[in-house]
Amino acid sequence: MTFNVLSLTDAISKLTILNGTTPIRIYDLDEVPDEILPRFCPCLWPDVNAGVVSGSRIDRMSFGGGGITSTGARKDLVYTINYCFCYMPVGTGRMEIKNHFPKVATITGAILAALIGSLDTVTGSVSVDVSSWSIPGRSISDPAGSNQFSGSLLSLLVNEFTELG
Amino acid sequence: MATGRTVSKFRRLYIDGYDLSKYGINIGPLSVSYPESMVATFADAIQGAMLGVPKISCGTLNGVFDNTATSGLHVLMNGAGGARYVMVAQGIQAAPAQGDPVFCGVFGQLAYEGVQGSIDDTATATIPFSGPAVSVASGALNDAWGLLLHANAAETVANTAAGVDDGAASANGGVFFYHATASNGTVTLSCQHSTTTNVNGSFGTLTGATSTLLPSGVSFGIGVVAPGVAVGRYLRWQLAFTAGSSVTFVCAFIRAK
Repeated sequence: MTFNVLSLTDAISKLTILNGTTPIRIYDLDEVPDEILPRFCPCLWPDVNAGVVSGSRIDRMSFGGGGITSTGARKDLVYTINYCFCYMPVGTGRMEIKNHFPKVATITGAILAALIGSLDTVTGSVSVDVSSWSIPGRSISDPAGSNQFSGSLLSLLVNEFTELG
Repeated sequence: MATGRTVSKFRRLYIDGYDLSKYGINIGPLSVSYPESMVATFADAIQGAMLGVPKISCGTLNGVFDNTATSGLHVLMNGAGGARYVMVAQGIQAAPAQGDPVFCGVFGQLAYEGVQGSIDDTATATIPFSGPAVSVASGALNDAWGLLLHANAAETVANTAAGVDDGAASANGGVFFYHATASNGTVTLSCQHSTTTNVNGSFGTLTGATSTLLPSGVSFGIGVVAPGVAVGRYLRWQLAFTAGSSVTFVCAFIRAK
């Protein structure tokens, strides 16, 4: 059995998501900076604040013991993986609110399109689907908790078969 | 071809030459069952089953109501009462590939029912099927589960690759099912077999497992290998253009027991 979170965050980090004509920065789990600076934005990163993985459970699907080899019981490893999108720090530029939020919505749409369109098959996962997203306003903190950003939150529901290597 | 369990998102649905996967919500049960005898008497110790006479059904299709011109589910399926060439390919942890399980048959469409959807109020359609349509000669086919020989993709040249190992040879014929979802010319599709080895040079014609000369565009059908005909252990798809250069198709072979 392999817990394939790293494969998934790696696959997401390799997506191309455009802000206009410029790709946004996407961090893998081993690349998330402690502090997100304005020059890093807009950027998408695994939500190391609220939890990269949440809602985890193992669903038993069949009789039998074990469950991590092809001869064991069949079990599903189900979890949610969470991401933050930071558009710009709060207080950046003039007319910040009316300028930032349409862009947050537009880029969030581009992120959704990329996640829905490009993550059909990821090594180790039989199913990856966007399960929720929100644009909570000017309340997204960077990992250091020192900067506030306008942005969005996104979650993906993942299903793995535990008997697969 | 992979082995193991899977999830429904890797299922694909083809009816009458069209890929309806994007409309399918669920279909089934995909069944081959043997009914119990209806004529047991008081004197019979047990009630028997007719083991030589299977009942084959693809159950009911629930799909998304969509009237997209030419290819929408509503456009294609809103006329009940006719025979439908149904193929359900089940990919294993990935999109269907050669050798994956497939369920095929020619079934009567019993109805077309527009339904108020239960998910986000999406309008849906319910389409129940009968057993095999008696108006279509499908030989003495007594099974509906077989092997996918070619996933739905374009080909431009004849097949020189190895085929799929179906485990063992048989001697009772079968049926070759095909859907050409697009073609720019006229082409013949077929299933070849090999008794000895799974290499290019060993494959030969399987009598009956050949389509008619298919026109450009969309086409579908079956090729019946008569009961009693030997079918080799190894199977593969083949094509021959008489005009044009590309055909997108999916095909399968169901081995009769």
